[in-house]
Amino acid sequence: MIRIENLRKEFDKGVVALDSINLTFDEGSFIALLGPSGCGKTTTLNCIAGLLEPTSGSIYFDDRDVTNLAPKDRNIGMVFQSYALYPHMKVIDNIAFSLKQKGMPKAERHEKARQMARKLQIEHLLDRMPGELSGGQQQRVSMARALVKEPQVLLLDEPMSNLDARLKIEIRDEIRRIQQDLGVTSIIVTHDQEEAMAMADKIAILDNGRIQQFDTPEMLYHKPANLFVAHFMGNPPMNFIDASVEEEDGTLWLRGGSFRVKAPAAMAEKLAGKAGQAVVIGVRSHQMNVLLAPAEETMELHLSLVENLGKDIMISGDLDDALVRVTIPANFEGSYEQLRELRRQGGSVYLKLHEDYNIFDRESGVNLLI
Amino acid sequence: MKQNMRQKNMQAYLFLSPFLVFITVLYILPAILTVIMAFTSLDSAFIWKFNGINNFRKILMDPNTPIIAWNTVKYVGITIFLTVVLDLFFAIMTTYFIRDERKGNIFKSILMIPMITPGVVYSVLWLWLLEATPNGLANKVYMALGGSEPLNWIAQYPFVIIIAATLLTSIAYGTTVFSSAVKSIPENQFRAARVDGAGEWEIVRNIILPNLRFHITFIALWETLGLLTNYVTIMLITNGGPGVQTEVWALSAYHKAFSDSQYGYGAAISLVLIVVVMVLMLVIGAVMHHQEKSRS
Repeated sequence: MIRIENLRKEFDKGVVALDSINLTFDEGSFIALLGPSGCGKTTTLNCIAGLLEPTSGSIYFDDRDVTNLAPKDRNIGMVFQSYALYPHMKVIDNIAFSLKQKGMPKAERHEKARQMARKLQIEHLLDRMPGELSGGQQQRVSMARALVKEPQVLLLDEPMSNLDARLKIEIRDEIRRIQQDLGVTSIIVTHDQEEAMAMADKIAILDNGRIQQFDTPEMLYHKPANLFVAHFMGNPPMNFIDASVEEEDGTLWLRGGSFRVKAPAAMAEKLAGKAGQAVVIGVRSHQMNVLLAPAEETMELHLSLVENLGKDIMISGDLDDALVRVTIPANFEGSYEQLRELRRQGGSVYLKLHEDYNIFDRESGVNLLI
Repeated sequence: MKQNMRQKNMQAYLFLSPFLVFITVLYILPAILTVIMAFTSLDSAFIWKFNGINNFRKILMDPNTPIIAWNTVKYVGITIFLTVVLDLFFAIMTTYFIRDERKGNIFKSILMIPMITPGVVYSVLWLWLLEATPNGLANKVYMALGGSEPLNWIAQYPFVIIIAATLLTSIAYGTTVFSSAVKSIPENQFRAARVDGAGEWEIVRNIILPNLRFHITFIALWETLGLLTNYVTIMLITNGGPGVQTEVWALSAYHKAFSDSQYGYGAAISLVLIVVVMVLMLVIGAVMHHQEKSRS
């Protein structure tokens, strides 16, 4: 188990890079630190590695307080964005470097390096120099180097951002497979939400040096804690429509510039007593039905773009002041051609929300439904 | 297109030609003259008379030659070794251990002072410092520490003194080169090594030094060139003495040619040095080429 308590890091001139970071996760789990650049995710990782000294707070591996230990005393393996292989050593010596530092005899450490290389399918590269390897191969070598010492924690600092898109998917599956094989607790830093969703058991989303939400990929996607997380997760991005809460004869309504929809029963409970509050409706592109004619509680969307994405048809347009993207559902009554024609004429379609959208407070950005 | 390129080339040659002329007149011609002179018995009478390889035979016969050759090897070898070691020490200290670039640079600027001081001024400072009378600074310190008699430092430790004086002027260059080399090592390599269990000394040994191996070779060869041909410091401080204790090859060429007016003989001694230097330059070229190749 790894426990991070109230971690805070200030740099020179009082720049606060991290503030009140609290994370706890189990042995063997795979955690992602996700966020835009400058959010503090790499700083967090470096504090866990011991490469940076936190200003305050503590880090525990199991019950061992490692906050003030040097990196070499923490039993961690680390993979860097640029791989950071030692350019003057053969691959096998790169992998065995940490074992050499422990004073393990050459034959033994080479044997261990060979075993680890076999697991990562790079045995044929052991006698080469790092400069002779491709990016993907260097990546595997740096994984082998991090894992050969059987670390308690594996830290991955944007390990795939230098790879091309196809290799990225291959390597990320590989990392996940090895991680599960060895059962090593792992933390990955990434700015790619798709990567984080695909690999991690739980994701911590950071912004401005604070954790915005620490949850499973599913929860982050379906129940984002605030507008930042909602903006960050999912592709296409969530749609945001301004509205306000209205109460009429005990029924709660959401009123926008051009529409009024009834809040579903489950939602109404959470919104009780919030009449008059300015909110944002957060709805994903597949969380609504598309009609060709207006009906009760529909929202009018002025079409501006119709795209055929192969698997889906995606339309976009203006709804009040918001740009809204909708994935056309399978049960749509019209056709692609019809939509194209409609757009050419400057026409509209009508959206009917499903019941699983989210509502955020417009001022604080907090999700009002959780 | 092709015409255009040729015109551009012509222009480049045009711009370069003044320098080419200067170099030819001031450098290559004297060099050729020196080579020719090496096979003559030219002396103060200024009669060009070829005497075959007599001058070279004379070099071999001279009982001082082995001493001078050994002095040169000793002087260059010890100075190079100490220069490279000190360069590495200062570069690693100022760039790797002192993370504050400004403080490191202040220190490096101080190291540069001897290098930018004119050789004559610098040597006179040494003479003044090591004066044999009780008024010399070294003697004042020595006597304050309990020495009974003022020492004639230069007469007593001539070799140590010329090496120390040369050393001070040569460390700035290598330190600068090594510093920028240390700086260009990606930070993540240090981090990886630290995570892998390396202490600071292991990082120096396993990461920094191997990364600097080409720079070290280059500086060693480059400084060797400089030391082989430059004799100003020695000439001004000891002038090769006492006796021939600090006479090195280049200085002996100067002495033979200009003190004894044996121009032909002096030229022959220089020619031997030129051959050695040319071989060294070929080695440098090969090293640089190898470095380019292993980088790409």
